[in-house]
Order: sequence, then structure tokens, then C-alpha cells
Amino acid sequence: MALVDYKKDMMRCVRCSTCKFIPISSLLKSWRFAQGCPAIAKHNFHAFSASGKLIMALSLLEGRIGYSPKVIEILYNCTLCGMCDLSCKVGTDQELWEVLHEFRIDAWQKGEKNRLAPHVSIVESIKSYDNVWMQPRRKRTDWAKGLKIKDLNQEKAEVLYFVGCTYSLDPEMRRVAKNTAVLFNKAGVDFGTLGANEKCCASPAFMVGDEELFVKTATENINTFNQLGVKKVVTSCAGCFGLIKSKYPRVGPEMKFEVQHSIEFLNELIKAGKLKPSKEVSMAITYHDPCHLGRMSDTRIPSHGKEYYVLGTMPIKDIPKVMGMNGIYDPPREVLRSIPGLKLLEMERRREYSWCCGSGGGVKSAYPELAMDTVKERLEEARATGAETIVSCCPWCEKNFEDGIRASDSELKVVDAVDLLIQSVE
Amino acid sequence: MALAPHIYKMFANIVGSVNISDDPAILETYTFTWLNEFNNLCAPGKFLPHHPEAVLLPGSTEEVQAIVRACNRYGIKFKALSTGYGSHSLPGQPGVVVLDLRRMDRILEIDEKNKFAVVEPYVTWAQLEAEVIKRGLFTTPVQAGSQASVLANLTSGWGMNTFGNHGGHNGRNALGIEWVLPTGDLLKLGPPGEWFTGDGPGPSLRGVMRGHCGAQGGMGVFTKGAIKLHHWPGPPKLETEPGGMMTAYLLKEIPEFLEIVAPCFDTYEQMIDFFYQVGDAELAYAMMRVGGAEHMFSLMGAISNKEMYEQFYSTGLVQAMAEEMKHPCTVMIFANSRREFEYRKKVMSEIVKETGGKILEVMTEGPMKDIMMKQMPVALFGNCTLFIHHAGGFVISSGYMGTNESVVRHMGIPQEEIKGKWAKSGKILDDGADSTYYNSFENNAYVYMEMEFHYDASNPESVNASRQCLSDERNQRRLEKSGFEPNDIGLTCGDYEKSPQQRIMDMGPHYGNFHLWQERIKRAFDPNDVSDRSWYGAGLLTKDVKIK
Amino acid sequence: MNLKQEVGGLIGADRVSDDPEVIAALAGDMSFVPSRSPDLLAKPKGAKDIQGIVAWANQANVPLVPVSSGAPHSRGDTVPSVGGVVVDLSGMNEILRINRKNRVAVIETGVTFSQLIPELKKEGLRLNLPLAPRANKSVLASGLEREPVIIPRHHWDAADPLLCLEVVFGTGEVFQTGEASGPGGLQGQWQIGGAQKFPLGPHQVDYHKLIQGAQGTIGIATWASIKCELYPVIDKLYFLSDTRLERLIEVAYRLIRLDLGDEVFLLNNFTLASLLAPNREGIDKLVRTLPPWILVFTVCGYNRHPEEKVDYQEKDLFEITQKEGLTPGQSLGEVKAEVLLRVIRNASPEPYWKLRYGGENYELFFITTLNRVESFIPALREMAVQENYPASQIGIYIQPVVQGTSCHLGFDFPCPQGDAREKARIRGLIEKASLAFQKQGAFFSRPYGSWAQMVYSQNTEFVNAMKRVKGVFDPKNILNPGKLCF
Ligand SMILES: Cc1cc2nc3c(=O)[nH]c(=O)nc-3n(C[C@H](O)[C@H](O)[C@H](O)COP(=O)(O)OP(=O)(O)OC[C@H]3O[C@@H](n4cnc5c(N)ncnc54)[C@H](O)[C@@H]3O)c2cc1C
Ligand code: SF4
Ligand code: SF4
Repeated sequence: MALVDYKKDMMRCVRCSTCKFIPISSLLKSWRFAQGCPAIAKHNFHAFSASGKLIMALSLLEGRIGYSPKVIEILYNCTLCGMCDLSCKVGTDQELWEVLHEFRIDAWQKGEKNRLAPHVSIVESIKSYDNVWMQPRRKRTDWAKGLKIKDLNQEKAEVLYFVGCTYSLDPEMRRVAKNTAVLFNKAGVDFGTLGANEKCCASPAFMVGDEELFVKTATENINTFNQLGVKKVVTSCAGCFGLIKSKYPRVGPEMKFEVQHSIEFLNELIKAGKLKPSKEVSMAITYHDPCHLGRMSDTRIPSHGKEYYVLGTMPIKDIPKVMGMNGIYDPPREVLRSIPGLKLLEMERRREYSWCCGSGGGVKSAYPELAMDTVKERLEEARATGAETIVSCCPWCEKNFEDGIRASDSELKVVDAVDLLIQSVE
Repeated sequence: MALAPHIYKMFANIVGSVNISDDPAILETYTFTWLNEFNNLCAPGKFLPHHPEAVLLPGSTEEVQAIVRACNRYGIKFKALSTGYGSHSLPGQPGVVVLDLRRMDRILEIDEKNKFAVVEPYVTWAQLEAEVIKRGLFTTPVQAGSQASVLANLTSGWGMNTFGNHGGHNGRNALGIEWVLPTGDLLKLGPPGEWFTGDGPGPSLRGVMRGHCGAQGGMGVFTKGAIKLHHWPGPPKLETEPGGMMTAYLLKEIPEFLEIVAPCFDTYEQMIDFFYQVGDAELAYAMMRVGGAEHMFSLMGAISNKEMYEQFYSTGLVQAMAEEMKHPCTVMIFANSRREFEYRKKVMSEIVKETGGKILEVMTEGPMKDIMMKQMPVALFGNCTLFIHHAGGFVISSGYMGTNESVVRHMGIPQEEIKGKWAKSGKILDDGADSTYYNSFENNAYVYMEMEFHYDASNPESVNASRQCLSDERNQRRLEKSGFEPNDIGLTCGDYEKSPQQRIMDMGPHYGNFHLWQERIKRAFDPNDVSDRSWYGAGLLTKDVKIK
Repeated sequence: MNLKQEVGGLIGADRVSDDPEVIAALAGDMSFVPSRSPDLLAKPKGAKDIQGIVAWANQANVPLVPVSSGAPHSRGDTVPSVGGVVVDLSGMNEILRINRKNRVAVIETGVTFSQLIPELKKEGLRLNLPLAPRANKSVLASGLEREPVIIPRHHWDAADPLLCLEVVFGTGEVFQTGEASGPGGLQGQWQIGGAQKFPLGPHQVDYHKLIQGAQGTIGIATWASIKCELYPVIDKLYFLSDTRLERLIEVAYRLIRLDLGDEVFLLNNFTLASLLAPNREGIDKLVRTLPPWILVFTVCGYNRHPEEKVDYQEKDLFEITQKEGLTPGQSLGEVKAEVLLRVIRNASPEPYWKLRYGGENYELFFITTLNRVESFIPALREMAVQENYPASQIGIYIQPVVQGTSCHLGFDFPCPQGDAREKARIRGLIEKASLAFQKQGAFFSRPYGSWAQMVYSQNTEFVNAMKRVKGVFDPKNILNPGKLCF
């Protein structure tokens, strides 16, 4: 596995700029919300687009340029949101996102000078504390005080609730984990958690290019989950979900469990009549599709450059083409629609072509200005719908929305879908 | 050679320091573009041998003017690009600063009544389309895709487009234009402060603006422009859903009074007759042909090459269709009323019959029906470019404008022979012998035809084969009469045996020495030779030619 | 050697004249441009002759004034500013080709409307005509002047219906534009199916657009291809009238937007009467019977189910007029649709309709947009009253052009023949109105006579750029000096 595996993809870029935009006119609803890529939207030089990064990678492979602070700045001024990958794939088989990711792995491996300090400290935190927040492991259980939840280190259950670092450790976000657990209990779900033994999913390590740590952690997690004998791993964090669902399969060990985001699971519970949202929550809301619950959650198996020709020079990659259409788009909407009184107003960029919140890919820690500009763009799009509240299912998105709202004096409010559901369920 | 520090600083003062860069990594991304592997300076690789001196991101006409004036003062060359999908979008020589116009991206006005929109350089077709269909108007997007610039096409590059039959050729759709001349002077075509026309007072200086091929960056910078729009009979919003093979999306609902008719013909003569009849009867919103079946199916971009191959080629389906479907055409009827719709459908089927056209059952039933009615409109209206890139290698022979008869004589018939040979070589994509794209304009007042072929841009052997194929095409065609054919105005585009500029030098004497006329104009408008001339006229080859 | 001998030596002694009477007739026209005599009249036979004259003129530094149409001229563009040779091209009047299939005619520069219209009709074709043009007006010159044409739908670009042309530039070099460029010549190109229909280029310059509107200052055209349209099988003309323009303009917008109807234009009663009545009395009488504003449109059917085509168009457009509360009719008082239809499908019978009222006529016209037309008309009437010109005798013609993206707004001021005082009054009125309208956004895209100064003084950059063009194609300013900004 190496950057060079994707040299052909780099050479096949036609520099059409589709990766900067929502791909085809018919998807677009206005001039205003036509952009697809947060990085180029802020920085404008072609280098910052996905195509620009492909070109830089090719140039690097051909020895025309070397790693430099500028190359690193460009490489990491990218939320790895995957919008570019969808746009490009509307017409090609190029694995754009894999190149962006492989480029980071290459950079990370090629030396410490390529590693950004905020990323190093997060990675160190995972290594030292099994979480991204430099918190002692025992704090992971604080959110669950007073709740009746099985400890899967001791007992068996059908479902592992994988809480995630942020929902369990961030004081402002813990309520989501709590609400989720309360709802599970109400529905009579047989579930438990790993308590203080839950480990970071390693998404940040994966995103910044620390492949070694990712593989190690992912392997450990898969083994743990398998050993638990659970049917399902359910997580509330879109980041964890996207990674476990989409990227863990490439690590190796067989995954003997189904992965679900809690919103999917809750939707099933509602449909099965186990949860009954009945109290009116009157509010005009819009729903933000988190990248890792949406287009980036579709399982992606990279080709590593393996292909063969048919019809002379038509390259065939022996992998399914994944564009992100199979992300989790309807379940959150169905949950929200099941709540009486909620009025769901859609943003122009939605579902698989949703605009990123700006927080992912290590951007929030290393390039907060990009995170801020990107979230402000989303807030404006949300406001344009006429909604008063923006709803999501991802702690990273929600935190960034809070920051964006604070910085822009916006009147919008942010909530997690679970926060609304619990208000409605008797 | 880097810019002297004081000059860099001066440019930074104009655009702001975040909007200029001479970092090698950034510059590197301005040395790579579509078809570079065909450019003699790079072939078969992807990178130009020279970097721009710097990249600037001006945010306004005033900034562009200031940059261009400074370039004149210090003898620095400049090259503007919009979205950069033209193969002529990068500097063709060292010593050039690039003006990436990305920050100039506003739609300034949409005049619904008078059917035009005023745009800045980085407004894309998709953006304009989204805004104008709300107002019952439509655009004329080019196959380069919905993400390409409207203004670039209007002023600087070509102008053939899918909806040309109803919307016209973009070379003829320009109205008022704002233009920073190579000297830095600001020229407004048409009335000051107004956009409804760009012709006059007196002669129309649109005449020195673009011609057939567009100024390609050699005549200054176009900063604003008005484009003529045409009526959109459809709903104010097109709702799509994921699915289908062409663009990954399909229409949720087929607009009322829309129908796509896809007849095929045994001979070119019949097909031509059909085009003439439909043109006379003014039936079509769009009218084209996209090669034979083997070529057509190879354009389905949203499914992977693997799925495409397995579903269509390895099953023999496409080959069987190719046998039956010679000269397939695609005609869109899009009417304003039920009555008009019924009339047009009736006349259309009559013409199909009369001209010997066949509408194969397979096209109107089963999966093909869905493709034609739900996917094709998204591909056409949505104008997705990427479905032509299996392996990053897509090139056309020199496209040709003229009457149906003359283009088919030049392009259609000889192409099949040449293309057929190369398709079988295994070195380029074997999508059959017939891969000519053909598009009608202004109710078939004239048509455009090009041969399209695909290769693998990452494979030097494939790149070289495609260059050879293109050369064969040019050589054969132009050897017939005094080196060139009558009516042959398929000029420039990538080439290989000779540079495109050398081809222009060869053609010039047979075409009224247009290359020398252009050189005179170039010198008159760009006395300091600062607007990168690489893709203007014969480029650097006429730079020092003595002209009386 | 004198001028006559020199030019005679080039093109034949029988083709030049300095007969004082001939010269006097060329010295002025029906415009406000001061009369000035040329020194010689030359009548070349073809491109070779013209090339010879241009080369000679460059050496001898003698101005050339190209003229294609027959008299009377009315815009001052053919009145020599500084003497020289009038190059009369009216004798080059061969129709080189009419091609039904590609809907195109190739004509020499002297071919007139009255000559071409019937020939085209024989082939089932017609021109997108100016409004009842002068019979002896050159079709090619009309195209060069960007004269507005009456079927907006077929007017895709301001250059239409002029497509490709052959031109002798001021340098003496011959050039073919657009698709006509390249080897083979017309014959060779026709042989392989070419028809000179694609006007752009060659390559990166649109030469035709530089020659157009240049009043003969860039090059002398020898032939051109002209875009033609099918001649209808069924033809219906409708009047839609109202006391105010507003609703008629709305209807015109809709018709053009939906490609309904062929000819579409608006007239005031005076212009309609001038088109129809034979003389002053007739016009006066007819005007009184007509409503103030009339939208004229035709509905046509062609060779395929013409009745059905007309039927659906009529139904669709009646819906539109109904929305505005108006009803189209095929007569307007005593005026029958067929009569006007005949008028607009042909060249004007003599005397030219603009001259029927007064014997002389002066024009004020410019480009604007349909929705702005109404802002000019009351102002003009007011100015006319101030200048003591009877507002009721102003002809008004509104022609949507370039598929309705803009429109030509033309005012005609008839004037008794030879009445110098009245002429001066009209001149004052036109100049005053022109200045005021320019300020109001009117675009004098065809700046004849004193408009040139008015327009160009506003736009130095444009003038600079034009001078660069002029320097390329006519560096010695041989062609029609003194016109435009040259
Ligand atoms: C696959 C493919 C299909 C294509 N199909 C078509 C087609 O059907 N019809 C067609 O007309 N063209 C086509 N093209 C050619 C070209 O891409 C288009 O003409 C398009 O308009 C380019 O838009 P752009 O924004 O990418 O322009 P750019 O690449 O940015 O610019 C094109 C040229 O114009 C110059 N330029 C751009 N903007 C300005 C400006 N504001 N001022 C001065 N100079 C400027 C550039 O220097 C360059 O030479 C195709 C290209 C590709 C790759
Ligand atoms: S969309 Fe794909 S092919 Fe196009 S520029 Fe981006 S990376 Fe390159
Ligand atoms: S992953 Fe997102 S931010 Fe990064 S290049 Fe792609 S679209 Fe831009």
C-alpha cells in the first residue's frame, strides 16, 4: 500500500474542476450553494482542490517537488469530507479520496517534520489514554452515572453501545450519550458498554495518516467486538460509525458484527413500535448530513492500483465503485419526521452531496480558520431554509456548529436528533 | 526565474498577500491540465516544462487592470484562466504570471424579459443554469461540463454546445462584454453600463474578441459578459434522485412536453436528410448524434468501467446494437404546450419514417426507455463532463463546422476508416469505428462534427497511439487538395506530428493568411506582447515575422 | 495623368466618369451631412478591379467611398468627406447561388432586394427582411449596416442575416470570412457540399463583424452569403392594437419567448399608414382610422401540415393575448391583413414608403430594450411640441432584434421636399433628442453623421480600440475617411 499505487489515478485527472463543485447542474439549486469542496472554497489556489493535491502527489512521485511546509499546509487544509470523490466519480473510476488519504500516510511516514503539532498531540493522547481528549480512562463512564447499563466487560448483551470519545468525555456532549441510553432502556434494548475499557476508534489517527496506530487500534477493537459476541455495534458518533463501517473492513480481521449508527437503530425501534414519539415538539429544523454518517460511511475497499484492461485500454478496477449513495440518509429524517410538530426543511446541499461542517480530517485542531469558514457557510445555508434549529447526529459537527454560531452571532440553535426524540417519547 | 521581490510585492499590494503565490507546490498545479500529454512540450507526460512566475487571484476588474498595467510596465507576460478545463488554459512559455479568476464569480444580473444574464469569469454553467431555470430560461452549456466557465466559453474558447439547435452557438451568443485589453485599458463592448448588446457603435469589436476558436488568453482578460439565453419550457426546478448509469442521477419526474427521440439510419445520407428536415420544421430543442452504439455506451460514466463492460460489452449487447443501429441520433423535443408537443411529435415521426429512420424497440422499452427519458435529460441538462473519461484520455480530432454534407464528407466517412484501424490496435479504447459527435445549431443552419477517442493518459504507449491516430486523421484529410480541403475550418486543438501552431502556419497561406492578420491585430492590441500569445494565432511562431 | 485616366487605366475607361452631373448627384444625400463632391465615379466589375483601385488609392493617397445601393441615400455614409473616388458597386449584381437545402443565398454586393426577393421565392425561400426596404437597396449593404429585420426568431446574432463574405481590405488584400475561408473558392466549396453558413472566424477573429457597421471604412465587400428562411405555405398576419403600448409589448415578449409567430414588430398608426397609403393625403386619411399602437405578427405554416402548425400557434398565442385582454384581428378598420402582408414580404414600391408623406424623411433610431421603449416616446413627443414639429406626423417603429434581447426603436420625421427651414427644425429636434436619449441609455449602435461625434466622444477606449483595428485593415485611411471616428 503506497502513494505510488495511485499514480495512474493522478495521471488520469483531467483538471476539470468538477471536484470543486456539486457535480451536475441538475443537482444544483442556486448559484449561492454550488461549491462542494471546503478547502478550495477558502483558499482558491488550485492546489487546495482535490485535483491540486493529486497533481502535487504526482509531482512528488516524479521528483519535481518535495515535501515542504506549504505542501503539508495544503494537504491538511482538507476535511477529508469526500465530496470531491463523489463529484469526480460521477464520471470516473478514480479513487480520489484514497489518494488524499494515501498522501497523508506518505507524508506522516516520511518524517516528523511533516506532522502538525496538534495532530501529534491527539495521536499521543490516543496512545496514552485511548481517547482523543487527554482524559483519564475512568472518566469515560461519567456520563452514565445513575443509568442502568450493562457492563459488557462482565456480562453479555446483544448490542454494544460504542459511545465514542466525545460523547463520553465532553461535558457538553455527554447528554447525547445519556439520552441515547435512556431511549434504549425505554425500548427495552439488551445493550451494554465497555465502560472505561472503550478505546478510541482511532479515526483521528486514520485521518491524519498515522496508519500504524490506526491499524493497531482498529485490529484491537475488531477483536474486542468479536469477542463480546454482540450482534450489533451501535455508536452515536458519526465519526466512529463511518470509520468502523467504512474503513475497518480494510484492516483485515473479519468483523462478526453489524455496525449501526444509533439513529438507524432508534429508527428501527420506532418502526417496531418500541419507541413512540408522541409529544409535540414544535420547531422548524433542518438536518445536516455528517460526512461520516453519509457519503463516507459507505464501505470502501481500495484497489491499491490493481487493474486490468479490456477493450484495448479500458481499465477495470476489481472493486465496487462507491460514491456514497448508500450512506445513512433516510433514517435520521424518518426519526425526525416521526416527531409530531417538527417541520423539516431541507438544505440545498444534502444527503450524499451535503456540505461538510468543516471539522473533520484534523482540520479543527490544525486549521481552525478553515473549520470556522466552512461551518459559517453551512450555517448560512441552514438559515436560508428558514429553520431555527440545525439538527445533526455527530458530535464533531455539533461542536463546530456551536463554535460557528458563537462566532457569527447567529440565532440558530444546534441539537442532536436524539435530543429531540427524547422530548417526544413519553 | 522568479519574480523580483519588488515586483512580487507590487502584485501582492494589488491583490492582497493571500491572493498571490510563487510557492513551487502551488505553481506546480498550474503546469498540469487536460491534454498536456498531447502538447509537444510535455508529451507523453503531464507537466509543462515551465512554471508560471506566480499565480494571482484578482478579485475585481480594477485589480485585473492594475495587474495588466504593471505587466506592461515591467514587461511581464500574463495568462488568465477561468476554471481551467481548456487545453489552452496554461502559459505556453516561461516568464508568465497566471491570473486565476476564481474569485470573480458573481452573477451580476439576470434580465428575464430580455433573455440575458451578466456573469463574471468564474460563474459556471451549472450555477447559471440553476438560477435561470427558475425564471423559465435556459443556457447553452458546453460538453466540457457544467462546472466550466460561461464567460470563458463566450469569449475565449470555442462555443459548440448541446443545446445549440435551440440556443445557438456561444460564439454568437455574446452580448455586452467588459474587457481588459492587453494594454490594461478597459474596453466595454456595447453601450456603457448596459449589457443588451455588444455590437457597435459602428463596427462590432466582438470581431477582434474571439472568432471561431476564442481568444484563448492571447488578447487580455474578459472580466464581465452578457450571454443570450433561451426559453426553458420545463419546471423551475429539476428534481433528481440517485440512480442510472450516465451521471449517477436520474429525473424524478419527466417534464411535461419533453420527449427524446432516438432514430437511427442506415446511411449518412439518410441521417443528413433527417437533420435537414427536422431543421426546416424547427422541431428540436437539441439535436445530435453521439457515435455508434459502441461509442455511446462507453460514455456511461456513473457506473464503473467494470459494470459497464460486464453489463454491455462482454454480453455482446452493445455489439449487437451496433450492428442494428447505424448512425443513431438523439433529438429532444421540448414544447411549450400540449398542442405544440403533439404537432412536433407527429411531424417528427413522419420525418423519421420518410427519411428511412428506424426507432428500435430496444430504445423505447425496458431499461433503454428509462435511460433515454430519465437519465439522458440529466446528462444533457445537467451536462456532466466526466462521463467521457475512462482513463483520463479523451481527445477529439479537429472539430469541423459547416453544412451537414460537408462535415460528413470531411469528418464522418474518413474518420471511420482511421478510427476503426486504431480501435483495433488495442492501444486506444476499442469503442468501435464510429465515434463521431455531431451537433446541430440554429435549426440546422450549420452543424459541428468531431471524432472522439479515448486512451489511457497514464500509459505512454496509449498516449502515443492516440497522437498517431490524430495525425493520421489530419494528414489524410488535408492531403487531398493543396494540402488542405475546401471549407476546412477545423482549426487547432491538440496535435502531435507538428505543434498546433505549426499546423496553423501551414494552413494560413491557404486561408487568406489569417495567421498574419491575427499577428497584425495582436501587435496592434498588445504592443508590449504581454498577453501570453502561445495559443493565439500561430503563437510564438509569428512573433518575429516581418509584416508590412 | 489625371485621376480619371489612372483609374480608367485600371478598370476600363468606360467604367469611370467625372461628368459634372454624375458627380453632383453623388455629392450629397437626404441627411444632415454636408454635401461634398467626389472627384470621380468608378464602377468596378469584380474583386480584381477593386483590389487594383485600392492598391492605387493607397499609393496615390486618394480616398475611396464604396457605394452599393441605388439612390436616394439618406444617412450621409456615402457622402464623401474629402472628395476622392466613389466606388459604385451596384453593377456587381449577380446572384451567385440560391441553395434551398441550406437556406442560403450567395450574392454580389450590388444585388438589390427587388432583384433577390422573387428569385428566392421561386426556390421556396425568403429573406429575413428589413421593414419594406427600398427596392434598389443592396441586400449585402443592408446586412453590413445591421439594418433591423422583422423576424426576431431567426435573428440569432446582430450580424444576421449576413454570414460570410469576401472583402478587399484597405490594404488591398482580398479575404474570405467565416466558413468561406480556405481553398476551393465558392465553387470548390459548393462541390463538396459547403454553403458558407458558419460565419465565425477563420480562427480567432470574426472579420465579418469588423466590416459590418463600418460604413465602408474597413473593407469593400464583393459578395456575401445571406441567411434565408423558408417561404410559408400558409401565411396569416394579425393585428393587435391598443391605445397604450404596454400590453402590446408584453404580448411581443411572450411571442418571441415562445418562438410563436414569424414576423413580429410594433408600429404607431403613422408608420402603418405610411407603409400602406400611396401619398400624403392617403396617409392622413388612413391615420385617422387607426388605433395609436399596433403589434403586427404573422403566423405561418410550412410544408409539413401547415394548417395544423398554424392552428396550434394561433391557439397558443390567442391564450397569450387573452391574458392581456386583447384580441388579434385580421383587419384593422379598412386595412386588411393580406395587404400589409404583401407589403412586408416585398421591397417597397416607389416612392419608398418613408418618402411618401413629405418627399424627404429624417430618421432617429437606436437600440434599447422593449421594456424601455415607453420611456423614450413621451419625451420625444414633448420635444417635438417644443420644436413645433407635429407629433402626430412622427412615424414610430419598434423592432425586437437578436431574438428579443434588444430592440430597434426608430422615429421617422417626414419633411416637405426642399424645405430648408423645416429640415433645420427637424435636425434640431433630432440632435436634441439624440443627446437626451443617449443620456437615458439609448444606444446609437449605428452612428451615422453627427451621431458619430456624439457617441464616440463618450467612449475614448472604444475609439482607441477601433483605431487599432483601422490601423490593421486600412492603415492609410483610404476607405471612406471622415466617417465614424476615422
Ligand atoms: C472534455 C471536454 C469537452 C469540451 N467540449 C467543448 C464543447 O463542447 N464546446 C466548447 O465550446 N468547448 C469545449 N471544450 C473546450 C473548453 O473546455 C471550453 O471551451 C470551456 O469553455 C472552457 O472553460 P474553462 O472555464 O475551463 O476555461 P479555461 O480553461 O479557464 O479557459 C479557456 C481559455 O480561455 C482563456 N480564458 C479563460 N477565461 C478568460 C478570461 N476571463 N479572460 C481571458 N481569457 C480567458 C484561457 O486562457 C484559455 O485559453 C471542451 C473541453 C473538454 C476538456
Ligand atoms: S473531478 Fe477528478 S478528474 Fe476532475 S479535476 Fe477533480 S480530480 Fe481531476
Ligand atoms: S475531501 Fe473535502 S475538503 Fe478535502 S479536497 Fe475533497 S472536497 Fe475538498
